[in-house]
Amino acid sequence: MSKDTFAKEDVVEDYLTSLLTEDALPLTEDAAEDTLQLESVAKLLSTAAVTPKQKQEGLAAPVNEPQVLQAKVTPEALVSAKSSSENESTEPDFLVPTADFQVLFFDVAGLTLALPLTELGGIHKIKKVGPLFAKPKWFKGVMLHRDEKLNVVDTALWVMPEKYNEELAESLNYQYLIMLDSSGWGLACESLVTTTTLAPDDVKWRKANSKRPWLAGMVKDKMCALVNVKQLITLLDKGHNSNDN
Amino acid sequence: MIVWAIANQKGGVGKTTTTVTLGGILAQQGKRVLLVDTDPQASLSYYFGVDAEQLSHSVHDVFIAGDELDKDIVLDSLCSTKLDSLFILPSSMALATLDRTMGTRPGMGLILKKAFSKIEDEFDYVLIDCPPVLGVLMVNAVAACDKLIVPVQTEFLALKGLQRMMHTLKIMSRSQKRDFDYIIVPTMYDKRVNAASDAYKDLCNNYKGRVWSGVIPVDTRFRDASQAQSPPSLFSPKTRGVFAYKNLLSQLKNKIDYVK
Repeated sequence: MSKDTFAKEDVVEDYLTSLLTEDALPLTEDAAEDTLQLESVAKLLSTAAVTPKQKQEGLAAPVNEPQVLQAKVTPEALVSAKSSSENESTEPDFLVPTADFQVLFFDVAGLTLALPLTELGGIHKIKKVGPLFAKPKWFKGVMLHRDEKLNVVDTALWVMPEKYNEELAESLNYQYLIMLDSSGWGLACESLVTTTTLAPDDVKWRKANSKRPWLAGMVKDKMCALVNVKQLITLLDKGHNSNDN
Repeated sequence: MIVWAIANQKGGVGKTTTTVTLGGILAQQGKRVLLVDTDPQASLSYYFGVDAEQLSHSVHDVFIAGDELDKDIVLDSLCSTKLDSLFILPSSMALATLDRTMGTRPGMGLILKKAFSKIEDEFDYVLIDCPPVLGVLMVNAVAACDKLIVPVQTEFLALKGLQRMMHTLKIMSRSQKRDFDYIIVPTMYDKRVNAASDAYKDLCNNYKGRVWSGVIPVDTRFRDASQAQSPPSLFSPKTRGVFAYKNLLSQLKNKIDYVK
């Protein structure tokens, strides 16, 4: 094959980029509406930031309608792993917070998962998901949000493929898409449980070289998994599920 | 709603036949299907006996609607076909002027994507028949689709054209930081002709993992169906060409078997 099919490749690239970039276009009504929703939910989440360890009633009611929630919390909570928890003989291979940090709890097929708010990319109400071909089974497809395509993960299938059967699949009622940091990946979940503030000691941090790198640890009080978002994104990018290393 | 674009920067490789045949089969399976003609030559529109120059609306209206673009503008431009659930959004010669009049405006490549979002509840599948040139129309189709179907005639010149198409995709991927999902479909394959066999082998060697494992054979019934202005699956459902497209469609909907 010839190396340079287009003699002026940079010109073609500039042309294509311009056609596919909307910077100069005005804000649509949808976008304006989303921004309003985003602000109201950010306010809600900021309330959680000043009430440590509070047991909130649950977020399901307040976020019934919003399509986008965006975490607006300070990132200082996550710092170097040097001073990790006392009950580990091997230091974790990721950053462990030394200060209190906030998490969002959400439910999937009876399983509760926790995700640090600093790594929450947003929450969308799940709309129509378009399936893609030649993708792993846990990849439900893409959901269009404004002009963005969000990759929807069948969280139950990803986390516990061994327990996933037809009955479980039929019982699932995914409502929200929990976006992972700034990636295009989102975890489908059935309900949002609550946000709360955790101290580092509230979590049993996993050891290095664990079989489940996507787990940061276990929230002792709730006995639920705290997700290591960066590792999870890496696994998803590679097309791995929770059992793959 | 699933959107497939049928594109290749070379003409005469079977884009329109692929669009019409896949669309016809889907409609006969009970799916609500929209075929979009973005080629100013309007082959798809003429296939169904629609002369866009005689119509008051076409896909051109969608492109020039700007901020006024809404569901009604799209739906008002549709034409029906012999199949109840198969509709077409016809082309117009005026499309040929888009690159000159609007081709430099930012965001012009995303108009079809926006238009489809307005009608996503109305159709199960949208198939876009692309023009054989790189421009605002093809960019719109590629940007709007979930999967790109690239028909390639099994002959030497068509393989050269495929290189350009792949290069365009590569640049778009880099520009958009997004990988486009595509499948190369060998078309017009005549096993009696050595040149076709050789071209097919070259295709498989150069694009491993991207070429569909089947082929669409040459079949004169495709031409007969177009003369009858009827989708091949309706006109002659038992021919080998239709059978091959049914096989392709089945894999597109489930799991594609690529040449390894």
